[in-house]
Amino acid sequence: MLGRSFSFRGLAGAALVAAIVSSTAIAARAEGTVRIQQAAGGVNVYDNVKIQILHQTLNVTTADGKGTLIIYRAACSYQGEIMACLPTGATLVQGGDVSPIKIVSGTVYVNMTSGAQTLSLSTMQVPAHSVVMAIKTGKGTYITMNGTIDKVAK
Amino acid sequence: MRNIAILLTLAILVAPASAMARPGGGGGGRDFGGGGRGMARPAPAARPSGGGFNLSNDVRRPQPQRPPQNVQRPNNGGNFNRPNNGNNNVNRPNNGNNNGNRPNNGNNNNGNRPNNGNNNNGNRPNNGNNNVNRPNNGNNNNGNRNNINNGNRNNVNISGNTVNRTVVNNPVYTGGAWGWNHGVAWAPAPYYWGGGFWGAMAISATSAAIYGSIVANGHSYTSYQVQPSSPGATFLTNYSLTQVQCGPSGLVVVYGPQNSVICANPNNYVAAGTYQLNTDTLTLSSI
Repeated sequence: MLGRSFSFRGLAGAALVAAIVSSTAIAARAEGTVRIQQAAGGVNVYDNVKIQILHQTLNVTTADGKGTLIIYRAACSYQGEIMACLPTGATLVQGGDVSPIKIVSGTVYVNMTSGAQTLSLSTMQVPAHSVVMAIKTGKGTYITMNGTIDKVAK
Repeated sequence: MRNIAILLTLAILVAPASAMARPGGGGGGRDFGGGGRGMARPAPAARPSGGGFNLSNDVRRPQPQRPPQNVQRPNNGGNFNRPNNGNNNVNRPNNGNNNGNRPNNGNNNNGNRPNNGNNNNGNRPNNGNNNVNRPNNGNNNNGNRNNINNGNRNNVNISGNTVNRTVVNNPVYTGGAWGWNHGVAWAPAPYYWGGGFWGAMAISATSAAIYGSIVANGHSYTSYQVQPSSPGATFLTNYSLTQVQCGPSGLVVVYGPQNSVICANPNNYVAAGTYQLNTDTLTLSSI
């Protein structure tokens, strides 16, 4: 398959190389970080997660693509240019199962602008096109996440 | 020969990029712990063997099926009716007495509480009236809104649709719904006082300052300080209202989502009185 692709010559071959490199670079953009702290204290940190806003849901996918946390319902309001959401519904899609995750508290800050925005009553800034999140589940698990939005699909 | 050259070029270009994309070797993350410097770090949690997020404590596991023990238990039987349950009888040697004292467990629900449906009606016969005094329910549940409003109107002798009801339009946002929120619909979130409209204050655990309370229909509704940058703060700003402690007379009393209430001093926009807040448009309706 690879050899067949390279049967193209000249400009076609160069374009193909460029396309492959380009797609690899896009994959490398997934640079979000998720930290999960269990109620018992154990901590996992997941780098290079992919953050997508798809049809008004927030999707966070592990780098290995095997787990996606979806926040599908939230009470959102704008604080200046930042959207602050109180998430109320989440599911974990993993291992072929779709499991509800009970959220009891937390906030998701979404900055869809092209400039960094400062949170209200805080010195913390949310970078452009980025998400900052901290939630607590019904089982006492803390999930925090930050990173650049990789894709938005309305 | 040219193909080989292109292949080599591709290999050189792709290799470092792939390495950047998967620093964890495809595992999708890293654990704290081990060789930590300075502050003590929490121990790493076990990862799911199949990859993905470790939220095993938050995901319901399928319950193993139990053998159908004690399924066939006739009532009033005592030991004779379940003589061979093995360990069950050993651990509960007085089945006879137990059964004698509770002979009709299966029927007790019906026998001792035969009128659950009626009890609810009997004990809470005036839902309509109650909601008159707690008009906030109207925003919370569309299904209830119709019934509540109908009940209210009848009870307070408001005939027709909007007679004697003053609507104070939002001075800032005069358009349609959600204009105050960049067009994004807002819905109350559970676990927060007022659904989070007045700020992210967890019910029963908020450390926000208490701003008095309102007693209506025998119920006391505690008011809390509206948090800055919340939708409720936007509402107050729109009407140039300043929140004050609930309790004294002559205030603007505003019922918000989920039985929440706040109070403010009257001003040029809003006269003293009791109002229901429409979260769609941030308009006030007197009640």
